[in-house]
Amino acid sequence: MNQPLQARIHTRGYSLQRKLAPWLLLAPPILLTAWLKYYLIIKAFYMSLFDYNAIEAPGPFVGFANYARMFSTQYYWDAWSNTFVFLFLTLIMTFLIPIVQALFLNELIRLRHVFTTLYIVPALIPTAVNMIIWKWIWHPDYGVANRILLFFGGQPQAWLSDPDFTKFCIVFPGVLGGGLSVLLYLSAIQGISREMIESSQLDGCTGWRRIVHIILPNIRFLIFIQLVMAVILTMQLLDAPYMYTAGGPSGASTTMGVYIYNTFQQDFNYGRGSSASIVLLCVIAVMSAVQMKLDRSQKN
Amino acid sequence: MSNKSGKIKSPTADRILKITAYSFTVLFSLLLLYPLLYTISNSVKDHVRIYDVPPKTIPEAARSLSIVLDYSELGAMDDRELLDLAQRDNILAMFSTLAEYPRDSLFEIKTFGVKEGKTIFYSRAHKMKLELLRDFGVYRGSVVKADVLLHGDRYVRASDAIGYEFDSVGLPRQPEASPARDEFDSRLTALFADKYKLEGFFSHSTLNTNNVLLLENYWYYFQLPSYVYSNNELIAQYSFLTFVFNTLLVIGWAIVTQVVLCSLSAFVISRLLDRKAGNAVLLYFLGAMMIPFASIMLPQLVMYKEIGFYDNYGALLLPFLYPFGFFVYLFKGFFDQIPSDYFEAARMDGASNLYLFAKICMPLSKPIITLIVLQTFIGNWNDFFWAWLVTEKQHLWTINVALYSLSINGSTKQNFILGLSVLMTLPVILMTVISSRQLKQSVMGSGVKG
Repeated sequence: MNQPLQARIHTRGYSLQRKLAPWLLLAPPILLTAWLKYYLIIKAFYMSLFDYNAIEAPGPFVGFANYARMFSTQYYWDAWSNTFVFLFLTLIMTFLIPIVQALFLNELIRLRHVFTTLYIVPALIPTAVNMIIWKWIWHPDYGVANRILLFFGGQPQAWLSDPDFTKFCIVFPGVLGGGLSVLLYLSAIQGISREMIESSQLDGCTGWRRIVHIILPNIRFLIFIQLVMAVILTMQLLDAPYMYTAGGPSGASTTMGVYIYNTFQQDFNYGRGSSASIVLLCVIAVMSAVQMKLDRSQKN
Repeated sequence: MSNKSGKIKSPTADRILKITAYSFTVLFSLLLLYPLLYTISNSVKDHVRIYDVPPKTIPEAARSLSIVLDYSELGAMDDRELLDLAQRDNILAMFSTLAEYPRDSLFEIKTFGVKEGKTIFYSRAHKMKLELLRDFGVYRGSVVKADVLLHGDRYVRASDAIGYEFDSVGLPRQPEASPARDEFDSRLTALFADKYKLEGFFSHSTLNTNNVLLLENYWYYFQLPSYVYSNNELIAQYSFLTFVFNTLLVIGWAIVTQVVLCSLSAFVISRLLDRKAGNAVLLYFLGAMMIPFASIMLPQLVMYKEIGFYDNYGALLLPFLYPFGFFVYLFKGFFDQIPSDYFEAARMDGASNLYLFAKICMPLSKPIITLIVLQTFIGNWNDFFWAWLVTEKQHLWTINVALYSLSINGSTKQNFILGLSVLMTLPVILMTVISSRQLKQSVMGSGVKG
């Protein structure tokens, strides 16, 4: 029944149409992606080769001089070191907490739904609102942070205005805002087969030991993915340091993202901004590639 | 044997874990709620009390002051003159009490004008309304002094903004009878008669506690943008709703484009291409999504400016006009699972590709669409930087941009900013509670596959 039908529809015209149709349908999305995303990388690289002049674009060609000049300024390397300090702080302060939260939520029998919802709320509060709230909490004179410090006998701090503390203050709100990651971990934990957990229980693997020997190894993959995402996102950190302190005080929270923004929006140095963009892109690409490679070798 | 001992041991080990789990979760939840409660408590304070050191957790009770001015002794005059007098006195009385007694938590001032036992004039203003007028409205940038307040037609405009009732025959309102004369009365007598020289005779005042007034604050917090950006017609008219509209417009557009583009691409990848080509295309889309925003924002800004997509809705909307690789991936995974019998049967009936897509794939992919709606919403709700870069006109601002601009604007008061933040937080909480189940499924759905 099928044979003659297929033979009939496999005429030449039809098969050509069949080959072309998918690409015709795919053309708009592919072209739009190329235009709105990939082309911009090329454009950034192109701009980085010029002493870019926005009015008479592109201005004089300077080759890699933008890169050379940028690498020779201390401000640029400070931005990198700030970025890595942010990365370090994010990983130790905010990365692990959602895992702990999810592990504990998984142990709850009652009220799990209520607490899960509660955890999500701070993650959905708009960035600007979070910034306003936390700026007031960190306020040196009227904020509650110094009240708590005084209560425990500490010395009041300038928090966001103190170059030593400002990174901590910007990262800290993230401790409360990990609700969506909690959901991811929780679903992964609940996806572990019941049989495995029950049989491990029979073998005496209960309580903390269950967490260490059964649950954590089983969600290892998700933790790794989340780690990669956290690294990639923190490397391009821009909104938070900009909104809290606009990169200050004295450049202490100028991440690579804020540095790029400042080079073109304050210094109008489009060439250098593009060079920094390209370097950042390469660094993030290399870091993700290395992490993926590590993961693959670990799996094997 | 070991089996048995395990069974005996398990309850204690589990119980310790359970107790730890509960206490940790409860403690952390309290920690989560604290900033929110702290902000709510601070936002209902007035701009003087908010700077109290040490800060108080519970705000002061709100008080309402009624001022009674008597015009009986001024003799006969026509209505216009009388109204004019009452308006001048009203503005003087309200703004002077506000300026002279900032620490008394007077959240409401009512002025009654009486003549021969009848109430002829009544006006009522909330403290925050008066502050808006003083900081951004009629009296923007002026000092509270009698001649400044009455200069030109300012007092008429201010009266209109505040609202009043006037009837020379008598209004159906009666001021409360005077209690025993208190300290406030004598302070006001001196203030009105000597410093501000009111025409009417200050008869007495009454003071009540009314904490509902604290909630009324939020109504004026909401109006803040329309006063700060009063030059902008749209914001003057719709206030904060302008920004809410922009945000929702961007999110709505993002949802529509993502659903259409991603599902179409995924359909082609999943059903019309062979495996190898499909994966290559998918990788192409996923790769585009991995490009960090920080490293293309400059060329993006330059390019958008070149093609005229700057400081208009186009600039806000165009960045979403390409399929997000992750959503394509989700759709593809979903379409792959639809049994191919469906397609073969339909194709035998002569159905075109578009028909297959529109009539078979789309109706089945409601769960994925829900997921994309929620994820797009969360993603864009927090988006700030691009909108901040490309908008100069205030009526194009999204919520985040508007709040940020208001918060770095030196003349807005902290309680207004915190109050607006609370106003923006409450709908989020409400939505989270309502849609928490879908939200969880959405995040989990993306997590399991991603």
